[in-house]
Amino acid sequence: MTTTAVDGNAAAGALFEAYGREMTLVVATCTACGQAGPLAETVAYLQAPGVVLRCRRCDAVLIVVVAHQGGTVAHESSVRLPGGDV
Amino acid sequence: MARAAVRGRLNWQVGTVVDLIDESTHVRSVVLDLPDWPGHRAGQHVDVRLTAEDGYQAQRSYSLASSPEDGQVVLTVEVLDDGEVSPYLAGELQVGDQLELRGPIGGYFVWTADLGGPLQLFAGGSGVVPFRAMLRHRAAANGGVPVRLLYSARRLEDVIYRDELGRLAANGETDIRFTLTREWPDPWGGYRRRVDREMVEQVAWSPEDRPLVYVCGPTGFVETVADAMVELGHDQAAIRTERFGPSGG
Amino acid sequence: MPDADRSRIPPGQYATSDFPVLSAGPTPRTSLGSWTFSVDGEVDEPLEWDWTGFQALSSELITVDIHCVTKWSKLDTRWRGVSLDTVLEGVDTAAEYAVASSDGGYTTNLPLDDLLGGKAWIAFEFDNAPLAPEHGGPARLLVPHLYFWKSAKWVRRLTLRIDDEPGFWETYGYHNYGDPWQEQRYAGD
Repeated sequence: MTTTAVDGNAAAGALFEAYGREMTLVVATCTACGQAGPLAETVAYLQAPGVVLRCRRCDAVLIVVVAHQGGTVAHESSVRLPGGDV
Repeated sequence: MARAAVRGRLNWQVGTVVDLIDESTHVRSVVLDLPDWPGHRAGQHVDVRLTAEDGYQAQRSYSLASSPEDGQVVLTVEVLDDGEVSPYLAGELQVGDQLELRGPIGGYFVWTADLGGPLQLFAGGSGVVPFRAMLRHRAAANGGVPVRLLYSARRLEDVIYRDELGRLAANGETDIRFTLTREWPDPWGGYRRRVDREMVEQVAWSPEDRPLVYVCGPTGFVETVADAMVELGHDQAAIRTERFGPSGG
Repeated sequence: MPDADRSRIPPGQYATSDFPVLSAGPTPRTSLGSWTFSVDGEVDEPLEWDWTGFQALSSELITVDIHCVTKWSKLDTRWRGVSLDTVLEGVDTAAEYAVASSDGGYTTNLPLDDLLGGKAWIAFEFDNAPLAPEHGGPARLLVPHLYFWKSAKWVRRLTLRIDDEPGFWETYGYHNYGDPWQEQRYAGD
């Protein structure tokens, strides 16, 4: 694992922009390996063209947050979030 | 599947620097006046955005060092070689300058007095910053919960908030221990090595005490402590972690 | 910055003397002993080289400007690499597109034409030293005329395709082509 990775706490601002609410306590399930836990505990890569949250167990891409002039969008990949509403 | 942005309440606001405090040779606290500050909880952070004269922008997160009761917003910043934002905040920033920040953010790594305790805190380097907010909040709330803090730093000169931590430790039910990993004075009664399972076991409450555990620091430090606590029988769900890279957050 | 230099900076970019490390995932650590590079897809026969075989191909020293979509540009970067013209020499294909795949799962797509004609390399040295893992070593794709996310780090395979297939950032809203001089950062730009 690269030592430059941080955890989902650092992505709180980007996630708030994308979802319109505090997301770090939301329990996310990795659909690749089944690992479940708060988004705060995922591995976050911030130094990229977007914020990439990966599963701590299997590295699968969970959520990619991209900010551009039109707004901030969260793309969900190998993740299941509760509720399905925002 | 993409979700479009929904308007939340997280806006960029401008704060004015009203004071600068040298915590150590490489660390400085920045006290800000923010007219629209909504208040915060201990453990939360802010995102700071700097815009250079040519328009280039850089952004970084900083834990709030002030407690909700302090009535001021304080950030503690470490100068880092590879940082874009931190060297400016810890070095060139002057009283009267302005900063853009958004927050408070973060609902996970938060302690409020009503959560109770006992509190078990592990700080690696600048990971101690959110714990200053928590300890000040605890004191302001006349919180009687017992607290244990293990604070790891490279050298004694790198320990920040020393006097304040000393005062807090003198005031009963607060046990603060240090480990220095590179150099230590002689004599030195604290630990002299990087945190390991044995050290964690010695400072930790037992699982039966059901402490609320918070671990903050570089990734390696956090993983070592969190793994040790789980191995010692503590409930994973009672352990909150905040990792930053070697850059200190 | 003097006007002569400013003309080398695409719109919206800022010159840096650093070399920022940006990554969407953990840094792979691939030993030279296990490294291979392959070309597959719309080819009569897939090609594959191990490190020794790849080093035996003729390589060149090049100096190019690079432009990251996160707004930094770095001028006069020096690399050693094998031109894709050399890699694909003699390859007969009806493919119009290519997808580069890397250790760790990263992918990026581009028209085959943008890899040919002296425009792209598989680079394995930077500044006269072996390419460091955090910058894409052992070898990365180098396509300086496009935004640098197209220069896939840790590249291991090039798949030639009849039709286009968006890669990692292209799937997440970045521009499918990525010309910095047209400021093609996001889809729809």
